[in-house]
Amino acid sequence: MQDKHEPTPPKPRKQTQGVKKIDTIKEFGQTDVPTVKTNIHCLPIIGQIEGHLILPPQNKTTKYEHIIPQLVAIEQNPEIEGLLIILNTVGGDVEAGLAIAEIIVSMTKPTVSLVLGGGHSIGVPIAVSARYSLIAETATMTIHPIRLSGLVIGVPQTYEYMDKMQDRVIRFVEKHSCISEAKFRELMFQTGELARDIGTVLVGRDAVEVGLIDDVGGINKAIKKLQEFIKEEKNKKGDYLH
Amino acid sequence: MILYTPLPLELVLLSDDSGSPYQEIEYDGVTLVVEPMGIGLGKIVQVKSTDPSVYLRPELQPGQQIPLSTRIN
Repeated sequence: MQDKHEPTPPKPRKQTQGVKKIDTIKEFGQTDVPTVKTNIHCLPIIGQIEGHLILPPQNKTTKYEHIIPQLVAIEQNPEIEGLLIILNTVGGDVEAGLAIAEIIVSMTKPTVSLVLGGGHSIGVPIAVSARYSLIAETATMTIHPIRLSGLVIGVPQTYEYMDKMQDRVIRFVEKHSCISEAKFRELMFQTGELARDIGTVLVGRDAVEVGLIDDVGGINKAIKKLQEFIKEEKNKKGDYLH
Repeated sequence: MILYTPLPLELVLLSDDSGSPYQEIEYDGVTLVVEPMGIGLGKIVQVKSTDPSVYLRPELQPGQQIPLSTRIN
C-alpha cells in the first residue's frame, strides 16, 4: 500500500480562496488580477511625519523608517522610471522630514510632488525637494516658526538652538525653490494671519506666486511632467551612448 | 525631538494608553496594516506601497479579510 502512494508528490495545500490565488501567481505566473504595468510609483506622505519618537495612536503617521527604504528601492529599481510624491501632511519631526527631503533631492530618477489638501510646516521642504512641484488649487501650506515642546529652559542657548533648527529648514527651502530667504522669513513671522500662531497660510496659487511651488495643478499635470522628465532622461542616456 | 506642525502640541501628544489595535504585516510582498479579527484572520485597514497597481488588486482592498499567518503553510 505504502509503495503505491510514494511516487505521487504531496498535494499542495490549498484550503482557502486567497491562498489558492497566491499559489496560481507563484506556480503559473497567472492571475486574474488586472496587471497594470506602471513605470511611475507613487509615494503618499500623510498625517504626521514620525521620526525619533512614536506618536500616540490617534495620530495618522508616515514613518521615516518606511519611507527611506522605499525611496532607496525606487532609486535602484530599473523598472521604476519616475516618482510622484503626494503630500497631505500636517508636518511632524524636523529631522525625519528633512531626511526624507534630502533623499528625494538626491535621487537621480525624476520626481514630481503634488500638494493635495495640505503640506504644512515640515511638508514644505518635502514639497520643494522634488524636481518639479505642484499644488492643487484648494491645497494649503502653512509656514510658521518652529516651536519647542516639553521642558524649555529659558536661556539664550535655547533660542539659539531653535534658531539653528529653523535655519536648516529655511536654507533647504531657499536652495530648492524659487523663494528668497528674506521672503520665506517674512512669511514665517507674519502676524495677523493665523489665529493661534504667527506665520502665513498659502492657498494654492499663493504658493506659486511667492515662488515656493512651481505650478498649480493636479494629477494630469503631474503625470505629464513626469513623462516629460522620463523622456529627457532617456534622451540623455541615448546621447551618452552614441 | 522637535515637532514642526501647525497642530496644537497637546492634540498631537495626547496619550490615552490604549495602544493601537492595528498590526502591520507583510502579505505577498506588500506591507499591510490589518485589524486582527480573531484567530488567524485580519481585516485590511491600509495598504502601504508605492506601486499604484497594488491598490487595484481585489484581494488587497481595505475591508477584505486575509489570513494572518501566511508564512506557515
